[in-house]
Amino acid sequence: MIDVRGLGFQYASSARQALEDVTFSCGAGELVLVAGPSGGGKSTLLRCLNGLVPHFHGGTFAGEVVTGGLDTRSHQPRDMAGVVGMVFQDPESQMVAETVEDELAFGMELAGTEPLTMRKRVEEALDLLRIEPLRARRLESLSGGELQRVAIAAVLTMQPRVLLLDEPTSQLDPQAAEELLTTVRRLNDDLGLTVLIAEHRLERVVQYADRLLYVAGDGSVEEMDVRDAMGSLPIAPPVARLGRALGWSPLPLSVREGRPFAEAYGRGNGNAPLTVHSGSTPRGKATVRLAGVGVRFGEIAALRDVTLDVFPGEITVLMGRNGAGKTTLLRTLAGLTPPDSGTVSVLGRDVGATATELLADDVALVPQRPEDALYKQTVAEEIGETLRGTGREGSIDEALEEWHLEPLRDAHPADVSAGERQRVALAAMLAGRPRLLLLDEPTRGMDYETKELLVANLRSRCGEGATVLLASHDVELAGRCGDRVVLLAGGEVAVDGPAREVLSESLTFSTQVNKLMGGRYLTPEDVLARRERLGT
Amino acid sequence: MATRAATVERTGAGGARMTAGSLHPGAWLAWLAGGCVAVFLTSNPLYLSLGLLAAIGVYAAVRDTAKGRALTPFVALGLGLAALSVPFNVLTGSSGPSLLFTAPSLTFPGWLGNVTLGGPVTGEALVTATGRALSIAALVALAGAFNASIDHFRLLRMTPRALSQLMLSLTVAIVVVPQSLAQAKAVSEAQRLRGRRSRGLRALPGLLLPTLHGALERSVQRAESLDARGFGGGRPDTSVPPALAGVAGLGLCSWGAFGHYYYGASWLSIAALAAGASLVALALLQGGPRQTSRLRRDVWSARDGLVVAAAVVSVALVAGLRLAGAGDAAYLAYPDVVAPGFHAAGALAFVLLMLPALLHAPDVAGSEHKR
Repeated sequence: MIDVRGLGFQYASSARQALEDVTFSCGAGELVLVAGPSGGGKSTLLRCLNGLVPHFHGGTFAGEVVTGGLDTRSHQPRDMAGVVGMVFQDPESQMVAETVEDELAFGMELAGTEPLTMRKRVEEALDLLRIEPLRARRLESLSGGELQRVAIAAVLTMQPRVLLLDEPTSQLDPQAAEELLTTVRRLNDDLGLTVLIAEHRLERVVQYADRLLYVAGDGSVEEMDVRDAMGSLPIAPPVARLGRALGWSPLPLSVREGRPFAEAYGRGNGNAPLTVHSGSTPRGKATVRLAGVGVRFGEIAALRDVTLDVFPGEITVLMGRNGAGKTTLLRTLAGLTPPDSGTVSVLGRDVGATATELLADDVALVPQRPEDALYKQTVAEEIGETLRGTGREGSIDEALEEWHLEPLRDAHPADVSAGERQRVALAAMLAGRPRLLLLDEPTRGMDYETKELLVANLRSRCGEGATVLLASHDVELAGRCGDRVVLLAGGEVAVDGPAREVLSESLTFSTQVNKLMGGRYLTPEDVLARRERLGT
Repeated sequence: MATRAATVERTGAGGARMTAGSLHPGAWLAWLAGGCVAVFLTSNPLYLSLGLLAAIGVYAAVRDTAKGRALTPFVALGLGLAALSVPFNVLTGSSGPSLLFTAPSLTFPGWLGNVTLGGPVTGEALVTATGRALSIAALVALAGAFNASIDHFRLLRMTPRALSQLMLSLTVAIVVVPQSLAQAKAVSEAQRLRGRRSRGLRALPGLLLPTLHGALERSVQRAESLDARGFGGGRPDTSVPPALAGVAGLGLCSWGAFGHYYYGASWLSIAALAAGASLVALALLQGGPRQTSRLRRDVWSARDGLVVAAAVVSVALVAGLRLAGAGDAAYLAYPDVVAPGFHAAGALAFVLLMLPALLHAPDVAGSEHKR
C-alpha cells in the first residue's frame, strides 16, 4: 500500500536533512505507529506520504514514495485526496464548512461525486465515527474531541485506503483522546484501512499497533517490531518500563498483559506510603492563599467559593474535567482574571490590587498553547524579553541550557517543531527565578523525554524553594512529580490530599502502574525503590 | 423533542435542505445587488436614509441567527467612513453661494496636483457631502446585513468555478478574523505576564506583528489541509481571457463607483458599472461549467422569489424616477440648497428592501445549535 524507497528531504529553510535515505513499506490494513522525539521528523514523514512534501512544503527531495499506486512525484496532494486522507493536529484549522454535514460532504462535492453516493457515504461516516447526533450542528458549537472526529469523518467520506493521523490527540483531554484512538482502531479493524499514526500517548496505542516506525531525529527511520521497540527505546509506557526493569518476558504493553506478571510479583505490597517525595518535609508559610474566591463569566460560575493554601517547595497538581475551573484558577493567580468575590494573595501581595505586569516579577504562568506565549523573532530574544521585562535574575544561556535549547538559540519560534515550541515557551515564561510557577496543561502532546526534563526542572525549582502549581489531565505526570493533588469539580475543590493517596484510591485518576500493582505504587520507580529496599 | 423531530424531517426530505427559515443564498445575493444598485441610482438624502433604515431593519430581523457575526464592526466601519467623507469632501472643493465659514487653506504645488485643501466652506458642499456619507453608510449596512444573514459555505458552493479560488480565500479570510482577535488577546496577555509595561496604543506595534504572524500561520495550515482534501483538484483552470475579462470588469466597476462618488450620480458612471458587471458575468460564464456536485440542494421557495421580485421592482422604481426626472432621485444641492423632493415611488423602492426582515425565520440548524 505504501512503498518508500531512498526517501530524503531537506526543508528549504533548514540546514540539515529532515529525512535521509528512508526505505520502508506498509501492507494494506496495517496499523503503524510513528514514534520518536518531537522535532524528529514524524510530521515530515507523514506529509511525504500524500505529497504535501515536496509539493506544499518546498525543499530538496530525493527518492520515491508510492502510496496506493500513486507516485508523489507526479501527483499533487489534491490528486491523492481520494487515496490518502490526512488529519492534522489542530482540528480547528482544517475545517471549512459551517455545519457537520457540509464539512463531511466538502471533499466529495469538490470531486463531483454523485449526490446519491455522497448521501450514502455521509451517513456511513456519521455512523462510523458515532457523530450522527451532531449532523446538523454548527462546527463552532463542538468540543475539541467532537471536532477531531468530524475531521476524520470528513476525510473518510473520500473513501481513502490510507489514513494518516498527525498527533490527532494533542489538543484533546484524556477522555476524548481515549475515545478517538478507540475509534481509529475500530476503523482499522472493520474497514481494513491502513493507518499511520504519530502519537505520544504510547500507553494508549502501543498495544494495537502492528509495527512501529521510529523516527530518531537524525534523519533515519527504523522499522521495528512493537515489542522489541518497547524493550529497547527510551520511549515506552510505564507498564513496559516496569516490565523491562523487572525482566518480564514477553514484555507487557498494556495493564491487561501485565496483570499475570504483577500477580506473580505480588500486587499491593507496601501499603505504607513509600517516600520518594511524599510531602513529609515540614511546610513553609503558604505562598498562595485563596479565601472564598469566586469567578463568574456571565451566567457561568467558573470558580465557586474556593479556599486553598499552596505551599513552597511542593508541586501541587490541579486536576479535573474540562471546564472544571483549572485554567481560571491559574489565570486568577497571575492577575489576568480578577476574582469577583473573595481574596487572593500571592507571596504576600493582594492580586486584586496588583497589575499582572508587576506580579510578573515573581509569578510566571505558562499558557496552554505555546503559540499564545511567544511573539519575538528568535528563541534567545523570547527569553531575553522576560528577563528584561520582569527584572528577574538570570541569563539567557542558563535558560537555554535548562531546557536543552542551545541548538535553537537563533531559530524563529514559529519554525521549530510543536514539541520544541513547548520547551521554548517553558524557557521563556519561566526564565529567571520566579517564585511561583503556574503551568497550564504543560504536557499536551509532549514526548517522554521532554516530560522527564520538565519533571526534573520543576523538582529542582521546588528544591530551591519555589512554589509550583500545575493544571493537568496527565495522571502519569501527576504520579511522577506531584506532591499534592487538588481535584476541582464544577469550580469547587472536590478532593485535596497527598498525591499518593488521591491517585491510588481513584477509579479514573490512577496511574498505569497503580492499576497494575495496586497499593500506593504510582510509578515504575516506586516499585523498583521498594524492591531495592527489601534487597530482593 | 422538537429538535429531534426537526432532525428527522431534515433527513427524510429526499436530500433537500430543510432549513425552513433561512432564505436561499441566491435570494440574498439578489437583495444585496438590488439594494446596492438602488442606493447607487439616487443621491436624494431622504431615500438614502430609508435605504439605511431598511438595511438595519433586515439585520435586526436576522440577528438571532447571525452566528456571532455582529453588525457592530460594519456599523463602525460605515460610520467611520461616512464621518471621514464629510470633512474630506467639504474641504477638497466647496463652491456655491451660501458661504458658512472660511477654513484656513493650503494649496499643494503643481506637481502634487494643484489641489487646494480648506478655503471657503459652503452649505451646498456640506449638503452634498452629507448625501454621499449617507450613501456610503447605506452600502456598508447592506453588506453587513448580508454578511450576517448568509452561510458563507453555502455561498461558496454557489460560486462559479472561475471565482471559486477567490471565494475560498474570502471564506478563509472571514474565518481568520475572529481567530486573529483571539490571538491578539493572547499575545497581549503573554506580554503582561512577561512584565512588559506598555498598554493601550503604545503596545499596538508590538502586538501587530505576532498577531499577523499567527493569523498567517493558521491560514497556511488551513491551506495545507485543503490541499490534502482535494481542493483545486481535477481540471486545472488555466484559461487566461476569462480572468482578464474579470479583472477588466472589476476595474470598470470600481471606476464607475469612484466616478459616482466623486462626480455625482451620472449616466456615465452607471454605464461603466453596467459594462463592468457584464464583463464580470461574461468571465464567469466562460470559466466553464462546474464539475462539482452538492449534497443538498438549496430549496428555492416562493419567499425567495418574492425577495428577488422586490429587489427588481425596487431598482426599476428608482431607475424609473430618474428617467422621468421625478421625485428628485438625482438630487443636487447646486446651485442652491433646496429641500429634496419626495415621491412615494422612491420611498416604496426602499421600503421593499425591508422584505427579507418579514420573510426570514429562525433556521433549523440555528435552533439545533442552541440546544
